[in-house]
Amino acid sequence: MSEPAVPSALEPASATETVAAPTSAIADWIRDLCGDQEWLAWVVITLIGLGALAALASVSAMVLVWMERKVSAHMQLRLGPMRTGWHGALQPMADGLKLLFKEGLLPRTTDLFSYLLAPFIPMATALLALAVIPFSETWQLADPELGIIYVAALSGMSVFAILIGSWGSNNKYSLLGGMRAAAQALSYEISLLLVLMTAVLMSGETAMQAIVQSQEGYFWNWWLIRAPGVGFIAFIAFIISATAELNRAPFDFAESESELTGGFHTEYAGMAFAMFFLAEYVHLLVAACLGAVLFLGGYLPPVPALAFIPGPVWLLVKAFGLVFLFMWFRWTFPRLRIDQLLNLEWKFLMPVALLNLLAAGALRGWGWL
Amino acid sequence: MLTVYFWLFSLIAVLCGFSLLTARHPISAAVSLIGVMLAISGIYGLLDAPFLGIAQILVYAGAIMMLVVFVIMVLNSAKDRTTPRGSSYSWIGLPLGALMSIVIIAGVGRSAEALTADPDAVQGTAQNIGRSLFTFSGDAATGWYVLFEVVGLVLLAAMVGAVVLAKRSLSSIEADEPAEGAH
Repeated sequence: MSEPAVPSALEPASATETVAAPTSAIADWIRDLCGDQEWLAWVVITLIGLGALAALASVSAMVLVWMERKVSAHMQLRLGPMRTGWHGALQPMADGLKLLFKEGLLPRTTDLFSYLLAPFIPMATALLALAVIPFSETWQLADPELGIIYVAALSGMSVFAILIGSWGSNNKYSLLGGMRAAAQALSYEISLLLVLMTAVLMSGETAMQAIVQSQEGYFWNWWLIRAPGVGFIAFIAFIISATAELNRAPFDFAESESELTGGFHTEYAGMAFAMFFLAEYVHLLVAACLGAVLFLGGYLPPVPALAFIPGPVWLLVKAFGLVFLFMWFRWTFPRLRIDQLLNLEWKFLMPVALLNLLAAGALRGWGWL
Repeated sequence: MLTVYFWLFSLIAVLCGFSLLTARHPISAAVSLIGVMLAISGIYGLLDAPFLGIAQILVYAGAIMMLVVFVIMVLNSAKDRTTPRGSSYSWIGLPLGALMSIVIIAGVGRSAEALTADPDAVQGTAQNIGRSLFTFSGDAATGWYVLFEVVGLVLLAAMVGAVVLAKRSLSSIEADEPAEGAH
C-alpha cells in the first residue's frame, strides 16, 4: 500500500507492530514465494490462519460433543452412542448433518435484525479468542501485548448473542433465559477478571506467550503450585467463574431445560441453533486452553525431559483434562437457584478473588514470586 | 496494509453510525453503537494505543452497552417496532451536528501538523500507561495514583448513592420478602 491516502498519523504504527507477525516456517516460506507482492503474502497467510482456526474450532467442537455424550453416559452407567462408528465416534457428524438439513424456521413475530444477528456473534468471539491461544512457541496466530485482557473483553462480548437473540426471539422463555444470562455474566465477569489479573500479577506479563514462558522448567514452576496457596485459590476461582461464564451446569440458567424449555435458543432451529451449539463447545475449549496457559504451564511439558513430545500435544492434553473436569461438574452437581448463584458470586467468590489478588500483590511485592 | 485496515474500520464505523441514527428500534440502535465502538477500538489499535482499544471493548462495548441493552429490554418490550424515525426534536439536532462537525474539521485542519504522531513518543502501551499512572519516586509530581484512587472512590460513592436512591427504604424491602422458612 504505497498510496499516501491516509493521514500520516497512521504511519508510525508500522514501526512498532502491536500484533506480532506470524514467524513460523510456513509463513516465511509463503513470504519468500510471494516476493515483492507483500499484500499477497498477507492475504494468503491470513486466509491460512483463518482456515486453520475454523478447522480447529469445528473439529474440536465435534470431539467435544462426542466426549460430552460419552462422559455423561458413563457417569450415569450408560454406554452412550455406540452404533455410529467406533463407540459412536461418528455421532457428532450425524448430528451435524441432521442440523444442516433441518429447515431454518423463522417465527413471524421475531425482531428480524437481532434474531438473525445473534447466532453469528458467539462463533466470532470464540474464533477471535482462539487466535491468541499459544499452541507452541510458533503455533499462535497472534500474540498481542494485552492477550489476557483481549480474551476477557471477548468473553464479555459473547453474552450479547444470548441477550440479543433471546430478546429478538420475542418469546418469554427466551427473554427470561437471556435476562438470567446477562445477570450471571455481568456478575461472574468480575471474579473472572480478578482471577485473570491475579495471573497477570503473578507472572508480570499480559501476553499469552510470555505467561507460558514464565512457567519454564519443572511442573512446580506452574502458577498453580509455584505461588503458595494463591495460585491454587485463583485456579479454583477460575474454574468456578469460567463454568458460570460458559453457562454450563450447575450454572446453566440461560437454557435450563426443565424450567425454560430451551432458554435463549428456544426459537432457533437448524443451522442457527447449530451455531450456538458449536460456539458453546469452542468456548469450552478456549476456557480450558486459557486455564492451561495461565495455571498449568500451557504447552510446556511437566518435566523438561519430556520435551520431545511437541507443545500442541501438551496443551491439548491439559486442556482436555480441564474439559473433562467441566463435564464432570455438569453431570455431578444439580443446578443451583438463580439467587444462590448470585449470592455465591457477590458474597463469596468475588471477595475471595479480591483478597487473593491482594495476596498475590503482597507476594510479588515482597519478592517471594 | 494499515491504510486498508484504517479504511475498513472507518467504513464500518460510519455505516454503523448511520444505522444507529436511522434505526427504528432502540435495540438495533444499541447494537449499531456497539459496532461503532468496536470499529473505533480497531482504529485505536492502529494508532498504537492497544490498551485504549481493548479498554474500549471491555468497558464500553462490553459492560456499559450490556447495561444499556439490559435496560432497553426491561423497560420496553417489543411493542415499539413502529417508532417513527425522527421527531420534531431531531431537526434541532441537525444544525447543531453540522456546527459540531465544522468545528471539528476546522480544528483538525489547523492542527494537522500536531496530529502526525512521533513514533518514539508513542505512549499507548499498557506498560507506559501503568508507569505514568503509578510511578512512585521522590518527586511528588510523577504518578497520578492519588487521582486514580480518588476517581475510584467517586465512582464507589456514585454507586452507593444509586443503591440508596433505588431502595425505597430498607425496612419495606425486608417486609416484602417472605420470612425465612415460610415455604
